[in-house]
Amino acid sequence: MTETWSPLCLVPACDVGRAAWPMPVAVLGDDLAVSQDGRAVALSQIAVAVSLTAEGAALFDRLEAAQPGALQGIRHAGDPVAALVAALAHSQARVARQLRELAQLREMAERSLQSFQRLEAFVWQTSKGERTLVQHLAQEGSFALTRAVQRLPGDSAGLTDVAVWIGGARGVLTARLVLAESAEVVGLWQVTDPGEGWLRLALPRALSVDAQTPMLHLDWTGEPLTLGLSLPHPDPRFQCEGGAMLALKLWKFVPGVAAPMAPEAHGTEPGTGRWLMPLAAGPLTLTDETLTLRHPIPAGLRLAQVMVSAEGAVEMALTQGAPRWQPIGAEPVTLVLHDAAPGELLLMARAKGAATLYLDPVEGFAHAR
Amino acid sequence: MPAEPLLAIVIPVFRHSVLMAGAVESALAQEADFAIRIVIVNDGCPHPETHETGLAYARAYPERVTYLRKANGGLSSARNHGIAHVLAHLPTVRAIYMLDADNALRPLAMARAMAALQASDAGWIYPDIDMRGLTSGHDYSGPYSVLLHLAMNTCEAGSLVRREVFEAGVMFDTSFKAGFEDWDFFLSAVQAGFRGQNIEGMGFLYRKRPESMLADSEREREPILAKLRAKHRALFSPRAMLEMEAVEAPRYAFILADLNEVWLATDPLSPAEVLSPEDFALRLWRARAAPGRHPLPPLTVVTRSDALAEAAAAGMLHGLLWQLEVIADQAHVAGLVGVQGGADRLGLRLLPEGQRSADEAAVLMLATELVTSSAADAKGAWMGSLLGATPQPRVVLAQVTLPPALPVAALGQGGMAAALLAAIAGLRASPWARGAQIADWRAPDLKRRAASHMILRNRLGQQPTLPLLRGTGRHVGLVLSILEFGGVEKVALNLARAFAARGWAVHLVLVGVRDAAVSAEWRATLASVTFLGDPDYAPWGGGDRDYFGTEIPRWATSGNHARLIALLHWLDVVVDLHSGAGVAVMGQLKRQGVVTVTSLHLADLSAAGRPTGNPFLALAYEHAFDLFAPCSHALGDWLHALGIPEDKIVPVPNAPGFPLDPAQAESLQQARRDRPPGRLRALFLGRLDAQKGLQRLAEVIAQSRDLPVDWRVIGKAVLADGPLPEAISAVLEPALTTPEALTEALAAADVLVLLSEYEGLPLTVLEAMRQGVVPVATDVGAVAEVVQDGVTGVLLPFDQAVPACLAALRALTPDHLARLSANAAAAMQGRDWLAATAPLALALDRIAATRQPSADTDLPPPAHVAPLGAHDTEMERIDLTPPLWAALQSDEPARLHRYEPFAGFLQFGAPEGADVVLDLQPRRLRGQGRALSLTPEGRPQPWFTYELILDGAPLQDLIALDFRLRYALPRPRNLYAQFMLSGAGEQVTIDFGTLRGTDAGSPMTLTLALRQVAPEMRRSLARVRLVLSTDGEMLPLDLMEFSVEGRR
Repeated sequence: MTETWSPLCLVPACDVGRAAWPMPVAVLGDDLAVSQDGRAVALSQIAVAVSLTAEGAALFDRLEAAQPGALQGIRHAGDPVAALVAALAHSQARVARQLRELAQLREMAERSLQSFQRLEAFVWQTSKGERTLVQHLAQEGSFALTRAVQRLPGDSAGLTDVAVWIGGARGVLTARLVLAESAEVVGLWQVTDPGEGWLRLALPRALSVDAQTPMLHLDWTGEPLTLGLSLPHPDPRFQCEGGAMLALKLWKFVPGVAAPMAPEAHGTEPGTGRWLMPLAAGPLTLTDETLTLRHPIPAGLRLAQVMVSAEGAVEMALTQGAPRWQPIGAEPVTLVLHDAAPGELLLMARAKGAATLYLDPVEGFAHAR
Repeated sequence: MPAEPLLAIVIPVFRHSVLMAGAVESALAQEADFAIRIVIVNDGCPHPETHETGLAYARAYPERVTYLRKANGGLSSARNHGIAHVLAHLPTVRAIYMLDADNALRPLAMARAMAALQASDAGWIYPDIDMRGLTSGHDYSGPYSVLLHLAMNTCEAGSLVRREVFEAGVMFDTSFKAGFEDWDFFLSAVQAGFRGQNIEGMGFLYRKRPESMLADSEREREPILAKLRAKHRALFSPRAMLEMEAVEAPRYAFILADLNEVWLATDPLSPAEVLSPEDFALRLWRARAAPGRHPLPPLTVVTRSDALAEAAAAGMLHGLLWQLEVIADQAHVAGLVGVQGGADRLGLRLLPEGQRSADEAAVLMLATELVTSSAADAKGAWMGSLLGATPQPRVVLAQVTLPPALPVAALGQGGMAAALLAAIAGLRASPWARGAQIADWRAPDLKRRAASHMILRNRLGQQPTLPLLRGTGRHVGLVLSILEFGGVEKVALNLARAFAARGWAVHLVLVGVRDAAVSAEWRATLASVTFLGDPDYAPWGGGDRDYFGTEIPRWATSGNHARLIALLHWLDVVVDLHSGAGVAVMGQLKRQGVVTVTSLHLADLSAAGRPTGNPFLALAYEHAFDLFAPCSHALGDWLHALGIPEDKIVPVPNAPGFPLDPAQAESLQQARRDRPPGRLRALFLGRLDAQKGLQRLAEVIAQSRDLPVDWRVIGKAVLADGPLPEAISAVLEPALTTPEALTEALAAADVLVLLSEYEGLPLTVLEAMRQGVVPVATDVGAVAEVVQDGVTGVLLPFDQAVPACLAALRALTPDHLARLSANAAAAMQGRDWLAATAPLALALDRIAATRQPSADTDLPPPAHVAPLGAHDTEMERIDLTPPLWAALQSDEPARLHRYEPFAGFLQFGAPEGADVVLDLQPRRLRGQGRALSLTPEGRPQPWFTYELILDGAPLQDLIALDFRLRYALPRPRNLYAQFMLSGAGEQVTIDFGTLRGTDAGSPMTLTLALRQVAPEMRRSLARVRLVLSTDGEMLPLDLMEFSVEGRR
């Protein structure tokens, strides 16, 4: 049987009958033996030692002489209640100090959160927060998926997106991103009737700096679905099917930071998120003409905005229907579309004479701001 | 959660009064289907807060947390305190986890560790380490290896340890105050029979700060390691490590071209793991992807199985592999070619680079890393050039010579470079090759697995160790400098036979030669033959100290001892048989647990008659030997008189050098008795050198022409002592080497005449007496031990040897001769080697029974390793000595000024403007030859040099220049030597080093290895100056010898 263990109050034998002791008591005998109900007790179990008389104090002195340091810091004299009250007061002072420290830490955490939010905003403004492709294992083969697990190469810190290659079929693909060490599920996606090609699964926020081993679990129900395989890997830990790894793409971003998703990506929570939709690479030149750039609207997008500037006489509109033209000059202007609906997003421009347009990627939001 | 805990987490706390809460909270947050008891141990922490926090947790979680408090005793003491509490009070706990107060666990860590422990027979489960603070991830996965654990602290203290480990008495050693107490703990567990097991991603979080106890222990690493080695001597013994290596990390991957198999083994004669090439490719690429997790032999050998079999049949397999490892240390690819040699000749020598191509080799060895990187290189041009005329990898080949009785069918067959390239091509084409580039995110902390052979090497001075698993039984090594037909070699053979007759395995190690007469008798007796092949090894010479007049050879003081120790450490017994400088390693071998014996035979005499040689050297190294085995009681007495304790002296009196069937001996003796009286048949049998008293023998033969004596002189000159006297050459017959021929020669003789200068106890005398041949011998050495004057033979006074011998020949009437003959034969009855070695065998049993290794420290690596082929006598040499020095006959003095060459080969240097001149005076030396006395005049300068010049040498054709010098100084001063090479505006300086003042007077060779100079640069250089610098002192110098040889 496992013995019970609890902290004890050590009392000299001569003082035991002098008070009603408010906690379990061990007795120090004249022979310096420590016992509880006749059973020997280790000194390490003593939490506090209280003597009430000079005789009792002398017995403690003898114990300390025999075992130096045995009662260091836990010895009290006098009224046991007063001693315990004093100990309690000391303890409460410590609790109060810890509450104060907690308040300080909370304040620091709040400041960090604010700073972090501003840092996120700064990152978006300066880099448009594009997620970085860190791994691309091209598709070289395929197999019929029912269930598969792939250990992802690389650690989890900063991971934002995982893409797998699929053949396309009717059914439901469930993907779970699990951190092996903590067994935490950090991403869960359900994709219905996925089409052929790369299926990009995105997290709204890059995983934290707590580096762990990411594992992708895939389950399929529906018509037969092929899943893309990439190169064989000699280490069994990385093998998914027949010795090969899955065809994969991985993206990362600053750990812990929310980054806009690619428009083709599937988010973990439909109806939430933030997207980045590049419409054109580089400046565009127009001469007495109207240009329309189109982009499919990701599911859940409600608000879109794009920063534009131009050289020449240009009017532009961000719209899903009839354009509301807005003159654009050299100073950057943000075009906004509220209450976007599923379908296509149009960025239209018309120039009189020769003009050059400068476009940032379109940012999309799940909720109007 | 069940009330009875299955697992306890012990958290020692000292000074981590705040951080401890993180550890405790992470322990409380464990998600497991069993109960966990947390035991906080306050190790006398001076912060009261620790006590309060501990108490608070104990009060808050009385069913889950135990708080213990003790006087400070250190981390080990605190852990032990908690463990002892668990063992005493928590009988249901099956395993204890050590969690330091500043570390933490992820919630599933204990559930996973306990599951792994329950699913295995491991003694403990250890984690990967994910560091916080200084953030990093560290992979400790892969099979647990004791060998690796000896080299590095592979198991984190934060491990889950089975209760039985503690119950076996394994606890933390409280004397380890500065760290690595966990390393010691787990090694103790290993010694108690437990092994560890890693689980990946267990969930252990280690707080890493720039300054920590671990950082302290890294600073104190060496002293702590010394302590570990001392405490776990049995584990750290190189013998034990070799066994571990064979099991856990086989050293070689043998790619066998004939079998299409790959064997993984350290000793190819022991069971190996056999893989198909495809499986080997998988193993190789797996190790490439995760070198810490997947073991792979660090060396690759490409050969055929029958080549290994032929080497094994010659008893040379392990030695050849060892030699290839030595070569592979200095070249990219080491190779072996086999040739058939003369009768009974075994040899192993390096071939000059480029003489034969890599594809002519029957065995190739190279680092597996080179194989892998070549296979990973899509073009592989670097390695592919092996088959070209100018291979880019440096290839060094050794040639093994075997006698006709041993086949070299496979060893003589090449094609291994092509086989290597084919294997590499196969690896490159493997489907696993590309994926190996994708690695895990944690750093492979155990990547030393990829160089597992270095772990044992580090114990033994970085030298390769013989890949031989000793198995059971006693293994005895005989160390000889040379093996020809001398008396010491005959004694060695008979010792070997006597040892083998006792069932011991006998191994021959030849340290001073690359070629030896290993006869069929030897081969039938030996388990192995190994050549040391150290180009620096010389049994004698070059020493700058002496012990009572006997030189301590240079190799004994500054040779590569570690290499020889690495060759011998695994033996039970090593018998040194006059190896000269080899005695220097015996002390270290003794500390490694080897019983060391010196077999002594005779002292040499210097030219002036001073006794010197191996017995004196053995006296100098008395402490290094367990036993002295003199060949005679007389030599035993001499050793005792000179200070060797009686207990250490076990005479092994010589016996006849070859066996003779008693029936045949009796038959021969009967024939002798039946022979009618006639002319006396006198025989000299032996080596024809000055020691054997050839001049005296010649005089006796010349002066006995009028006597009725027929002479036979049978032997061979071993040392060139000038032309043989005419009286001897007139009757000289070739040397006899077979027992049959010797028996026949002795059967045809009446007396054996031996007029030696000095002797031990000559085997010839014993062999002669056994056949009733009467010895007539000078009373030297231990001859009198067997030759009783007038009873079993005739003893001649050394200083009257010639007249006394003539008188004895005259006095030997047939009756007298018959009586002496019968007595001589009777005296040899029962005298054989098995009986002679019986006391030695008993002494070896006695010492071996208690011998334990006592070496706590790693052998230091040698300060100097001779470059391959540095002293390879087989290389072609060309004499480049400046002709003007060679032809210097003039006695004309000269006066030189700064940088003014004398006769084109000598000048001196001093600062510009220094008012220094050099007087040069040729003079004759007392013996032969001449000297140049060089006397500088002037005030001391900041620097001053003597310079020997070599102009116009074809440096591009040479691999080395040997400058041979002998000079004398009036005072013992060191000189600093440099080679300065110049030409076409280029200048290169290569430091040689200090020439010690005590070396002055001795011949010395200063080698300039031209490999150190780039070939394109070498083409520009035309002048070499050997610059000898004083520290500015105007130091006179007598140049007595000077020559230069080039090697190509």
